[in-house]
Amino acid sequence: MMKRRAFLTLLPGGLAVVGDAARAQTAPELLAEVGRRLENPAVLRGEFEQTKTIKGFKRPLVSKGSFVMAAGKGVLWVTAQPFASTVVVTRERLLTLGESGASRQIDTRQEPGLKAVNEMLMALLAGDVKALAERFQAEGALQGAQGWRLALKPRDAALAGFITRIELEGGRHVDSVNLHEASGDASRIRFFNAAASSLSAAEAARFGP
Amino acid sequence: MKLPSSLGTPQWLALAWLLVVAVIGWHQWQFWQAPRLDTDVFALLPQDEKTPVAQRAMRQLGEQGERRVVVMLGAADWHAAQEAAVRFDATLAAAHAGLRRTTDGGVATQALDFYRPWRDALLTDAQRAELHNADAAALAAQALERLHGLNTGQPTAWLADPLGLWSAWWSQRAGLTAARPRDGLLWVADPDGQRDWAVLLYETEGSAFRLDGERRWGDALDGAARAAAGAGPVTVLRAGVPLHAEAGAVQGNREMNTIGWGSLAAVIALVWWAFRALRPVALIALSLLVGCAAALSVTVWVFGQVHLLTLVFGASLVGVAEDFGIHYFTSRLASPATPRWPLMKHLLPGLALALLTSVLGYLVLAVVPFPGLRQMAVFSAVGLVAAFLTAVCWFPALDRGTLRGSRMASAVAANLARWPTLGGRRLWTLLALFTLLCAWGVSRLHTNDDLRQLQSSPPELLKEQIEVSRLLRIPSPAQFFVVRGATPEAVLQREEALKDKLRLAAAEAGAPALSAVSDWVPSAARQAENRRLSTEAEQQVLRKVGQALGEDLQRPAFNPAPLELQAWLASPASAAARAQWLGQVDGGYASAVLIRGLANRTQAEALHALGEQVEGVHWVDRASDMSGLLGRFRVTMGWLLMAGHVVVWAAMALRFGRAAWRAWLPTALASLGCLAVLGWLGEPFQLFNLLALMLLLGMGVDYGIFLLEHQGEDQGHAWLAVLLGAISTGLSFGLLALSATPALRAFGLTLLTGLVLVCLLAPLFRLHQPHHTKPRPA
Repeated sequence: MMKRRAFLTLLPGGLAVVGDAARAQTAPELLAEVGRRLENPAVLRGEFEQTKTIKGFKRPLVSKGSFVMAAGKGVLWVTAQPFASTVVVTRERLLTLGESGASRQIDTRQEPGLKAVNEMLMALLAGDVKALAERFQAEGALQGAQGWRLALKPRDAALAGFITRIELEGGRHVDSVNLHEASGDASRIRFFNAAASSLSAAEAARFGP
Repeated sequence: MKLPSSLGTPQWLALAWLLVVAVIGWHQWQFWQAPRLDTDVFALLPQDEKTPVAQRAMRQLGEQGERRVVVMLGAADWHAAQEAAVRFDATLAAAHAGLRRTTDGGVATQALDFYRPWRDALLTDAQRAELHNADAAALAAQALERLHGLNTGQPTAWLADPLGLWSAWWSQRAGLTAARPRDGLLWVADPDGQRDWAVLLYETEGSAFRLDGERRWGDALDGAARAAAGAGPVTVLRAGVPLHAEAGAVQGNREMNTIGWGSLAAVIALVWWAFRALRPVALIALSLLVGCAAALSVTVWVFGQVHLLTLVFGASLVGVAEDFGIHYFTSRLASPATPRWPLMKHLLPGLALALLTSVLGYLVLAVVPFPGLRQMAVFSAVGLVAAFLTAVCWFPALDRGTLRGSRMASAVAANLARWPTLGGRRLWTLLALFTLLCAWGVSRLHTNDDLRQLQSSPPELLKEQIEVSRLLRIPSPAQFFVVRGATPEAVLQREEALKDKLRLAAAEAGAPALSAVSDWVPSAARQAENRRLSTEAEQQVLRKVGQALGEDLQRPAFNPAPLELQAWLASPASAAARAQWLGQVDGGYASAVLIRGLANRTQAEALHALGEQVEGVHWVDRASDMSGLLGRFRVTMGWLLMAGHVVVWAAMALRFGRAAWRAWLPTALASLGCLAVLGWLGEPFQLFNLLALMLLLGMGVDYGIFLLEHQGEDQGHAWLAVLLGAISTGLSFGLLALSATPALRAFGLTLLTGLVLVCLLAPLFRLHQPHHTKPRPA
């Protein structure tokens, strides 16, 4: 089986991509306020619908399923339609369980770039504003008493080669994520029925020790 | 004794020498406007005549990093490391110390664009194996899953890489260094612990190194390190060729000053003590000045530049070149009534013979093909000749008035009479005892040809360099493979064969890994294989996915020609590995395959054995090559030293006849004594001890010569000259023994020991019965 690798590892050896180390000040009040509006429960459970637009495809690719987000542990991404598969994202690994039951696992300690990707994915889904602000320049606005909207641009030149822009929208939880890739592909993920919950023993086991 | 043809110095002689000195002075004035000083330790190392390719590889790989400075800041977590790095960089930038932060921003994107047309020809070994026996249906299912799954991005359009193969190829390229970009910095996780490291890269500014003995970069980095540590516990590691060069320059400058000025002060004090007059002090200082200036000028003229260690070694010349002047003035004390030029003419044969033996002693150093040693030899030989000529051509003209001498000097001269001379049974008993003692010492000798004798970098800097290399997994600079072939394609194919062999041999984690040009440009054969595999698999996958989703999916066209080495070399994508391509060598082509993560000798030996199995692959171990070379030269020089003793004896026999052994034996015994001292102290015996013994032969017999040249009442004054000369020479080399470079230290210590022994032994073998006629040449 092919291993799936993440884009952040995409760096020729020895070619250091070094940008400006100093983090420019972003609207800190906005981020602080978004952070306050987010509920950030220990375990968040809900459903998703993902729509991918890919160059060369006439129709968008739609998938549906459920997710479990455990703060500090990781994300369980269970696709139900059109193909069943489960992805477990933790800081340490990226585990894919396919329809056939075959699994693939990548250890982020051997693939350091992946650690960054996983952290980013976890931060995106959890709405971890603080973690996101380290990697992205954020701008946006508050909407009404509950809502907010953020647009993120990568700080890193290497990252910018793949992701041009991420848009996040939400209230107490993240409601939607729009991911624009440099290749022109885009994916939009919408979340439904998100609510604080707890982990089942089986789910907890998925995240590993 | 008095054979005056004319009483004054021939004027033409003094004037001719004045002309030469004027030219030297003019050259010196020009040289010091912009001194061309060399500080690279590698410049001292011998050119290995056997392996020009390895030599070329070393040079090319060395040039790559000669301006780069790496700084690593380690802290308990990434935030602390990052903040420390920001503070470090800001402080360093504010210091304006000539270190510029390098940003290779954009190179990654350029590299992606460069490789994109050949994406289908680039596969990892694992992918090639998987595609060989892949099931198209399973691959298609996997592609569908990926299409609908959580997006982790990929560097090409999906259609151009439906299996997501390219990321893995790139991450293997990225694996060549442990550093990963993170938040605009480079990040390395400590493999042993919980520590995070931030990496900063700098380059030295300006076209030439400004190595004038100031510690600019080092001080600026120290200051920045203090600033970085302000907030919490931060470990700062520094590495890079410029730092070693600067440390070497600082140290060399200090040592040159210590040895040069120290010797000069000693010579002046000795001369003052012996003669109590300004004139001898001024004239001897003048001869030293001319000697050193001429030495420097000729060295620069011959070699184009002068190495700092040559100057350090050359500073000891001060203590050697004063002999001629001292000898002249002690003779003036002995016979105050003799006019100066006739006196000089009388001294000339002895002085010339002494000069000849010393110069020969120095020039033998040049037999060893060490560029550094050759410079030292030329420097010292020229310096001696110039000091000699200054004394001969100018002293009689400039030395006017009378010379009283000090009572101390007379006392020393008179003292010689009380020094026992040896003859008969006593001589042989003492000799036997001495030889026995020496034999015991020599039997305990062990040899050491380690290259580190030449290493003088501060241990702290070396430690940091090693740590940085370990953390960043920088390839070993001294152990690598050279791969050769008739064409570039043959070289690349042999590289691949070597890599395949290693992969099969050592699969366990922590095993050393190879980095080769073929990592970046696979051989045309391998590209064709990759292309066949990927095209077949991807076309099937696209058809099946298209069927499943009701889409008409077309695989985009790739560049049909293979990726060419020349195109890669010309592109920015080759920046990291370009130096490994050695180009055309001896009618063929060659490349260097580097080894990362080489932890111990066993691994190196295993790799060496592995390389032997692939045609056209040669293992290079520069450290052991050099050590082997040093060892070979040690043996050669050992024989040369013995031959030298025979030649010197023969030369003296021509002048002194059967008494020649009296001038020779003290030096021979002292040499033996030096070896014995090394044995007693447990110090290793190395090439540089031997070179010192060679020089000892050249200088030690001088003392014997002086004592034999002068018989009767002026023997005491010859003894005074010998003693003064030996003390100042010994002091100079004693100061050389303070050098931080082990080779120079060994050299200095051996000479110091040897000179002391010669001084103690030489009077024992003098002819004690008063002669009024000198022995004539046989």
